[in-house]
Amino acid sequence: MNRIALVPARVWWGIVPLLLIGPFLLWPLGAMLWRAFVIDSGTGASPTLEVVRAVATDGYTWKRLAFTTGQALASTALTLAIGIPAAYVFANVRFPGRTVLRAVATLPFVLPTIVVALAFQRLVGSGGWLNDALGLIGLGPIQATGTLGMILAAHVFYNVSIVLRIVSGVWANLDPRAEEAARLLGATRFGAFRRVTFPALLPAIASSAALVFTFTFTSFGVVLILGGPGLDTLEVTIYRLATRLLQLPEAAVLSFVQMGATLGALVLYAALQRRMTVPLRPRSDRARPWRETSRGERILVAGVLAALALLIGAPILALVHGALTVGGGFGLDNFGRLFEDTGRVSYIEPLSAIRWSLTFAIGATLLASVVGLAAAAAIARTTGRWASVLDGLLMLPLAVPAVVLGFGYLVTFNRGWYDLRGSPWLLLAAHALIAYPFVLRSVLAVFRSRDPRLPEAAALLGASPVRVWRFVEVPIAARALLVGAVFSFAVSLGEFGATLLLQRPQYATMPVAIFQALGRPGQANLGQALAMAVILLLVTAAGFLLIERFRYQELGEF
Amino acid sequence: MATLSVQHLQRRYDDEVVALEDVSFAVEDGRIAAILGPSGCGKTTVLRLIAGLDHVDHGDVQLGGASIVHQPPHTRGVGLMFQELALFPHLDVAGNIDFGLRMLGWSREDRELRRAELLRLVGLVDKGHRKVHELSGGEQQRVALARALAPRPGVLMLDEPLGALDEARKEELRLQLRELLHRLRMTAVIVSHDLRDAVAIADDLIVMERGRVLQAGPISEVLARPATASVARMVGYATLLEGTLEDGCVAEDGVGAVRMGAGNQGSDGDRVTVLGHPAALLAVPAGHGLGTGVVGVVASSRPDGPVARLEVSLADRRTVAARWEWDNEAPPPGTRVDLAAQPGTLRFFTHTAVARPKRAPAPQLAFEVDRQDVLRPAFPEPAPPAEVVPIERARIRADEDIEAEPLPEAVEPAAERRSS
Repeated sequence: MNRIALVPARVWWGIVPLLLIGPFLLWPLGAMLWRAFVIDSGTGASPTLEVVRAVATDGYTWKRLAFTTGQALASTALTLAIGIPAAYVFANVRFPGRTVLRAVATLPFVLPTIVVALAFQRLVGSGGWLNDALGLIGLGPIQATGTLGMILAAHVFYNVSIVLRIVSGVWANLDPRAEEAARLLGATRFGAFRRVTFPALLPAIASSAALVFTFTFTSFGVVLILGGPGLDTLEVTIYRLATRLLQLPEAAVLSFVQMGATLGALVLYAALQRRMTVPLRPRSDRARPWRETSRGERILVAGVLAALALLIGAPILALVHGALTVGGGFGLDNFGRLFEDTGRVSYIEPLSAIRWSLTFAIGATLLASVVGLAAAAAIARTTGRWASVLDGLLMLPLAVPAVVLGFGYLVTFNRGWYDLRGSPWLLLAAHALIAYPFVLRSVLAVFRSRDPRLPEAAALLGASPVRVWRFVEVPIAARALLVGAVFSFAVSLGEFGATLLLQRPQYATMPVAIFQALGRPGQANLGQALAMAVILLLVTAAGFLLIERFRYQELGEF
Repeated sequence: MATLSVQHLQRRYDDEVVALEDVSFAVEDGRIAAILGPSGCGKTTVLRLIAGLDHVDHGDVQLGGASIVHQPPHTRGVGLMFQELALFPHLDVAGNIDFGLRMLGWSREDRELRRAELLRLVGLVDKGHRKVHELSGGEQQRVALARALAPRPGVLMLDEPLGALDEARKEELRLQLRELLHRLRMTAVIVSHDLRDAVAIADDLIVMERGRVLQAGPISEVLARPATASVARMVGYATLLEGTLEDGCVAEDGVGAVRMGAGNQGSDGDRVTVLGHPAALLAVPAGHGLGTGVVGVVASSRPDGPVARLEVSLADRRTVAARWEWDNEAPPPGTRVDLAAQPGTLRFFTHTAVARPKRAPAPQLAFEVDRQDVLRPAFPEPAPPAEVVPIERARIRADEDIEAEPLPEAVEPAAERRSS
């Protein structure tokens, strides 16, 4: 009857993200599946079961899986142990500098892994602060690099902000009257917490734990740089199998193991996330009733701040300090070295790396914004069971670890007209693919929470569908879009796993350049690496402050 | 402004109970029609179909004689004030009102003139630059009205326009709304579940139930002559009798018998429902032969100025509201009373016309509450000084030359119920 309804709008919107995830996610995954389970590239035979059996019976594989899971669980537990008290403090206690400190404490999440790894090396590695200090009091240097403790510390460093963000957001918006009502009904203070507040927080805690588990399970950069013999995660193992040992079928099989685990954790996260979005009504800090700060709380604040200073402040300061140290004094010489050209083969020029990093980041941000916006529109316009199916499909890139994605590209785009090896476009597609779910989540939250009648109201006032989009949808989603775009920018800027597999020296990015510089001996190379890391730190931090300024409410989905 | 005509609209959903079966009505140019019906009857769906926010399965919508059913919403020239208002949160008051004019491509000067005119019309002259969330609920309502009026729609539809307001503001706004719409000679459709809104604002009434129009016509016509028992109940009538027609009388055991009014069809043996409107029902002392033939027991009484409003329980199965104007002394609960009504105000429906027995909710609730009070053993006995009241009544009635009625008999039913 009605012509407009023949092709629902959601289908049109859904096409845009499919144009990206079709060729650049589903195809590579399919190709990998093919490679892993169907044919052997050399003989054309089907050694599937052989490979699977080999992988399954190889004690090394099981050791890697056990280690990966174990370190992820340990990292998650440690992160929660620090993150939950910190979330309480930032949500419920008023102290000077609270908002600024909260912003700083949530900063690490957007920092590139390579920067985190380097910062920790400057803190406790050889030639770092810790060993310098130990040297001063006459103790010998300790070997912290290549230990599990180092990896766990780095994981806690950049995941504590996830717990802090999600849990304190929910905690600050809980209705205090529920707990008060429980007290009046005879519950003790602890009883009220256990029976009222904790159940309300549980979905937030569990969903942040699922997210932390996912990130630490797939940890790549931190483990590659800070880890050592016997400390490889699956992700690093895949990287080594694919690039050094060229055991592609084995790498493909492990990739699917890896993806299965990630997917499971993310499905759990999504389910918990849905449960979390029920009772919240964001309140401004000013509108909240603040209780008197008790003595116990003061001690807790001091403890939390000290832990965060040690965990977040110290590595960052060590990094900056290292970058500014020249010989015995301070100077900007390390930054000056970025302009030097050593003229060596296969050497990544720092200036070129900075240029390409920005190029990819800007391109990926633009692409991710368009794709993420369209994906959010498609999901928001779908109802019922299909909404979760579509949501799951469009969030799939989050479940595919970066190294696996890069590996998938290597085995896919390698022949015929689609031989894209050596093309920066492939890298751009990878970055956009990894980044757009951040735009999607941010914008979808607005699309779902705003009055669904606004577009209808606009249409009845004479706005055509295009103008509804231009005058209502986009302006309302503008801030969320900006937040998502900044996240995309930071993600692209710091992307390490996929880039390392797909890069060529001519268009390598800063994280890759830092990694290569670290691999070469000499103070000059280290200086260059530190200087680039500080630049990355500054750029992402600036973007992050922009987000903080524009974030509507405490509750972000990331 | 133009005549709106809706013809045989049909819309069915796979998963929802609300469906439109066959909805037709017309709103003449410049008139205000109210669609009345219980929630879930499809009122809002009708508005959405007229607006083009949802597509129709069958039927036609015409505005000013031209079919608009195939047009997208933005070209229909139909205004809608949403129940939830749906003001644009990213625009200020002026921006909201301007929106439709910008879509029409009006120049800045023209828009400013029109906006000033509308702000004056809805009484928000100095609030043009306020953010919409800073306004009170009533002010937001007026912004939404001004926004819908701005592009001069051919018909303005208002979905529960007074839903969110408190009772005092409602009363005030009903009159303002009617006055405003008439001054603008606006063709308007109002959706409401509250009969009072319809009575105060509309010229025409369209009564809907379960996706169908039960009756449509001038409001006085519908209120005076409801077409079916369902309509009658929706516009406030209460069931007096559900009985069998015999010798021109409808009789029900324990309640009484009423003579069928002239002009009603029916033959002996038919089941007939008799409805009366509380505004036209008087309770009078029992036993004088003054009533219409319906006998009840007072369930509760509330003073209403010098007289009283009673809830009268009929054979313990239903209650009706009636006024007590006999004297200044409202009868206590448990008193037997006769109900009296002008013959022309009662409505008779033979059984086929009765969709399903359904009682008006409000009286039922009042009845429940009161009966609980009566049943509660700890409640003090109403026991008035037995000597004083009869004397008082006897004196008044003596003036009117009527014999005093013995009291104990009248109190008896209540006493029985208490003991049971």
